[in-house]
Amino acid sequence: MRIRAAITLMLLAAMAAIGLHAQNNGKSSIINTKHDFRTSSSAAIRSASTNDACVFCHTPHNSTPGSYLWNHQLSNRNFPVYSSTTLQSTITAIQPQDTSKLCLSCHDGTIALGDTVNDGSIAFAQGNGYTLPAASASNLAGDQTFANDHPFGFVPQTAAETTNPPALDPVRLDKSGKLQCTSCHDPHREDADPTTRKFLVKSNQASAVCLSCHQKAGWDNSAHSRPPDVAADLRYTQTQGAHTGYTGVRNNGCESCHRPHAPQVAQRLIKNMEENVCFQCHDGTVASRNVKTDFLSKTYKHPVLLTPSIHDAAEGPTSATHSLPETSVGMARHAECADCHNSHMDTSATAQPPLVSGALAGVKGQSSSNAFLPQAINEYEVCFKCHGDSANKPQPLDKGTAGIGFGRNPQRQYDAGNLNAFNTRAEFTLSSSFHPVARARNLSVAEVPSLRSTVINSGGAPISNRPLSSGSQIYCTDCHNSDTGRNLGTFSSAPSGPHGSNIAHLLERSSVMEPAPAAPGSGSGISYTLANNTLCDKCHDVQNSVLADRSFRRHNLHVVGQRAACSTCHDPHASQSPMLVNFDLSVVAPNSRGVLQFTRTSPGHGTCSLRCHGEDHNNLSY
Amino acid sequence: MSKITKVVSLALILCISLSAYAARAPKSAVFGSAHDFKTQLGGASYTLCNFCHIAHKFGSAPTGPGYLLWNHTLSNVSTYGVYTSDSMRSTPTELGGQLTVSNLCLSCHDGTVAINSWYEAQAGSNFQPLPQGTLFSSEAGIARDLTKQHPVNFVYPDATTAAAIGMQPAADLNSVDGNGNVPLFAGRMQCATCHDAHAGPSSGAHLFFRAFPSTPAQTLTGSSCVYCHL
Repeated sequence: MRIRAAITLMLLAAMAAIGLHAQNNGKSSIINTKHDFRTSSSAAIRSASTNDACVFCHTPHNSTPGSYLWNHQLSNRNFPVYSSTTLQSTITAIQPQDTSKLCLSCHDGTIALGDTVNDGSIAFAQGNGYTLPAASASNLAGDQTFANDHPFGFVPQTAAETTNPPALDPVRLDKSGKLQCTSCHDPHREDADPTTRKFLVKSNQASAVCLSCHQKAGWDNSAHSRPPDVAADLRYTQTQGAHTGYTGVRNNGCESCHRPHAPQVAQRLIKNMEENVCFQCHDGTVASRNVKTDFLSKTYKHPVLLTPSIHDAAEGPTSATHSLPETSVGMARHAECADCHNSHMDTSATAQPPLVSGALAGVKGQSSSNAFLPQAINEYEVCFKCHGDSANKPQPLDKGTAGIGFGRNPQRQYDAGNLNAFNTRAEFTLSSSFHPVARARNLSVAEVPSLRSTVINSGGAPISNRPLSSGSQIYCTDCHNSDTGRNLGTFSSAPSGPHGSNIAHLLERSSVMEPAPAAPGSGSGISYTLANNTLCDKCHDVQNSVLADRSFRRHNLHVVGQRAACSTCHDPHASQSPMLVNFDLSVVAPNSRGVLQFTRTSPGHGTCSLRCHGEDHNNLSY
Repeated sequence: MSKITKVVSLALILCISLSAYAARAPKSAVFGSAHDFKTQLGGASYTLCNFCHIAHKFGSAPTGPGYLLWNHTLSNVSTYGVYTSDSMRSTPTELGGQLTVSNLCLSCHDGTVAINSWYEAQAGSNFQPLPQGTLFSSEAGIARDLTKQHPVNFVYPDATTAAAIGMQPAADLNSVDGNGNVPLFAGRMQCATCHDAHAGPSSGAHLFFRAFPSTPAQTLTGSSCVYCHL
């Protein structure tokens, strides 16, 4: 019994020794990989006549000049190289001494797999002279360009977010400091990453290969690196566009959005066009809230679907080709997901006004003093980037009184002839009277008796974490937001954010304007209902304060009796008159003496000269 | 000896004999090979050995350890170049002007010295030599540019380095396998590490290749390269 056990043990040991020898991580691990072209290989593409695994690439004597005793005929073809507006390194055509050139002797698709230097033209099962087909994913130049491949054969310029791989990392630069194909790929070993395979030098789970060099600020704690909803994350599969073999955005890492070879967008190697890369997940299939449908189905929306290929990651005040804010009147306007969201830094963190929430973390902005900010601190700075000093506005749609997609656009008293009429940054920062978006207003409660103690949700209940006081600030998105999203404060599975709304001016709740009469000064207004004014009621108690005449003692008369809308007299952004009074010139006209003026003498008192709904006020005091 | 000890010893012997099996060609295997100039060139009065070796050195023949009683005129090429690669840990030493065993091979195989060029003239033969000064082989086949050849004349990686880069560690300074079937020369790889100039077809060899100890990797890949390049 003991003898038999000993024999078994010895045999097992001997087998293990032989097995270890065969399954090492050295050159012979090439066996039965896609690079094993032996006739007896299990690879689909293989030779018809040779059983020597090494000879397709290597020869001991009289190799091609250069390294690695190369036995494969080299390609002399050059193809366009990678470039991008954010690229710091210099990429040149491949040089003879670049080891990547050896890889390209098959992988640019121009040389037959069996074309050797010293062993003739080896016949392949696929036929003599078989080259990688143009459509093959292994053929980097099947599309006649390397511009949509991660650059190779260059010295990476290290920068804040790009480092050289650490010592002992399987990802490594060559001795001259260049990145080569072999920085990421080991041609002899296919399964160092057993899921993705692809001859990667190590597991690329959660993009470990990419992260050896690319260290995007904020990535480690971002919602895309650490999705807060694990169950939702696992819904990202091949069906949704995952191409690495891994499941989940966390595991796919960079390659959830990028692809190192043959992505749809060459610059920055983005795997789908613009918003479509986001819509892989944010269409309700992976992330639980469907952003795509807001863009598709809502009447008023940021034109993300309509502005192709204008956004550029390098845009900013110093970019020659992509200045932002735009400096030229003729520049096309654009809005892409990436204008408001930094997918490397996004988190699910909430914030209080005016600070950006996690969803807007790490996005470029324009400060209230019109300074460019690499990372906006306050939410309004993100909005000011396009809705501030951009020279290419107003667009025709902004200027129309019934602009398509914008609803009726009130032309206001202090907008006329004012260069800043469409500059929300100037409005909020330069006006004497303003909603506290870019700065606190600090009006006393006596001056704004309607101000609620907290914001209320769309059901009328207080939102406890949004207290209001005279020193409060509010977000742009307190008014401009989804009309169905969770921003309403009630249960909703729809996303928050100003992606789209069915309420004109992309408002989250109703603030109905009165229709423009045939001539300003005439007209009969619009019936008051609370439902028509829920936006103002969100912070200002319309029923119990405004219409109870707590501030202006003729509010009820104007709004209920004379059917004026809030918007007829008040500009929700800002005004040069007190109390946001800035008449809608489509409705209100100068009086019979040609005077249009509101003055405030003390809280709740003042004079008014105007003509509205056929009524003439001539310095009427109250 | 207990039964168990006997079984263990038997199994060990089996393992060792399996892994170490290799046949070294006898010198006479040069007969009929490409190195058999007596047959090929009709040198009737010569011994086959005298094309390279001489029993007693005279005259200008270089002397020193390891020169194998060499009589063929050595090349005076001073620069052959040195193979380099990005991943190579060893640094080969330029062979030009050296007197290593590889220089003996290069005395014909760099193509600059005629085959019938000796230190100690071999006169009085009916051998029809190639004209004096004729190159050994055609331009395409010359081995003068050593940057395009597998490197030689470098110190074989030590055990730690070998493990790190997936090489078979050398058993000692005299051979990789420990039995002289994959010889090293003072720890260095030379032409003769892979080739045995005497291993003609009668020994079963091809291109004067040595019979390396059989390994599963070689069987699997169909290549001797993986004896060292695991």
